[in-house]
Amino acid sequence: MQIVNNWVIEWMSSRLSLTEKEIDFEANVFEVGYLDSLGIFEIISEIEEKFNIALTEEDLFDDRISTLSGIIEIVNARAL
Amino acid sequence: MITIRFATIDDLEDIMRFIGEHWRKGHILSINKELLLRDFQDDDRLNFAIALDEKKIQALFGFMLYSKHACPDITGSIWKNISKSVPLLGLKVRKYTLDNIAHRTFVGFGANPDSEHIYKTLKIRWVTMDHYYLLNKNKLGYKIAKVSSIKEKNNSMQGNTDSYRIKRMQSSEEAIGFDFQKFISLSPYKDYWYFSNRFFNYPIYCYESFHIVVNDHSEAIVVCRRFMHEDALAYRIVDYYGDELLLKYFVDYYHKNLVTSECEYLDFVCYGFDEDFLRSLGFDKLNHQSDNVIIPNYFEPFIQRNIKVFGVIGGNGLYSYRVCKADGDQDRPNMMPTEIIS
Repeated sequence: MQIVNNWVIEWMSSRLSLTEKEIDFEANVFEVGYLDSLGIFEIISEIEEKFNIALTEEDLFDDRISTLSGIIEIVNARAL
Repeated sequence: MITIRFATIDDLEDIMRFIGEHWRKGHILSINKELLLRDFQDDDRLNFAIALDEKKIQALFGFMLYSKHACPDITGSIWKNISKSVPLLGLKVRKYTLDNIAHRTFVGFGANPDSEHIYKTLKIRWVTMDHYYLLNKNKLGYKIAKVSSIKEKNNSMQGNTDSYRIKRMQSSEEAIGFDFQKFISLSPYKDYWYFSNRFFNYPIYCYESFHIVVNDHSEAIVVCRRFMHEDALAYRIVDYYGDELLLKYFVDYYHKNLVTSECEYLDFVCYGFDEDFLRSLGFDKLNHQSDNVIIPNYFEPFIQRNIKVFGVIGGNGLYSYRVCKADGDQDRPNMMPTEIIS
């Protein structure tokens, strides 16, 4: 869990120059501008590569995908 | 509350407005109703899946059919999502289309390079089109192409070329007798309806269609378009349908009948054609990593640069994928004629 969490922090920091404290894990990533409709796929495909997992179409349509905490939950569930 | 459905004629104005505001200002589909209807109207339906919130379009996914077959091969076109509140609404309109339009394969070319991550996540194969060119080596100076040095090689035809005839089609009716069904194993599979609608009386662009006739029987269809820049000319094969080995006859015909002093090259942007065979006809394959030879892809406006064309191939692998430059929403005008001329 923590490994994915740390990776997401690092990824967000490098893209948006945000510190860990500034990242809101519960915010809607589209509404706060963390990601756009292409950016979400960029982070997902990099996560899949980094953690050697494959999200399903069902995962992509999971409402949790709109928050960073939700993305981390989905990824961790697949990584089990 | 978001609702997703297919568009109808009543949505035409809203779709044109959405394309102009959110896809590209001044895009031809935002101002040319005739072209949009020609490419997307299917009886009362417009081939767009749209997601609406309080009657306002939030996302759309355009699609095109390659035939009137009950289960046709299809391709995507304009795909845009502006919703920030509904996660992945763009993906939802695409899924709605694929779930509700019976189709055999999804073959889309001319994809935005930024969409590679989307298709990677969807586990759909991401590929690049090959770009072959056959320079007119008698030409003194090039204005469309940029050529730093010319390799001398033998372009001569292999084998007997006496038994063929190239017949230019003057109307779509001349393609009615062609045996499209013979090539059902190719994807995209195209039929008479597709060729007729796509290449005859097409607004703005003028296509030249040919039969390759062998032993008095049409065995392949070739479609070309001329590109002009200043007083220079280039030919492009934008579609080829039939046994690919017969392309040698068209190349022979090109050398004998189409090459003029203005003509710089014949090119062919494609996927799934045999590289060794095309090289044997004298084609070179464009190296996108180098600027030693530039064969442009954009003429409106003219951009003298090598440009890679990306695409996606979805399907169960049972078919031979063979894609040409005019497939999908490629080789469609982006501008109105006055803008093109200027």
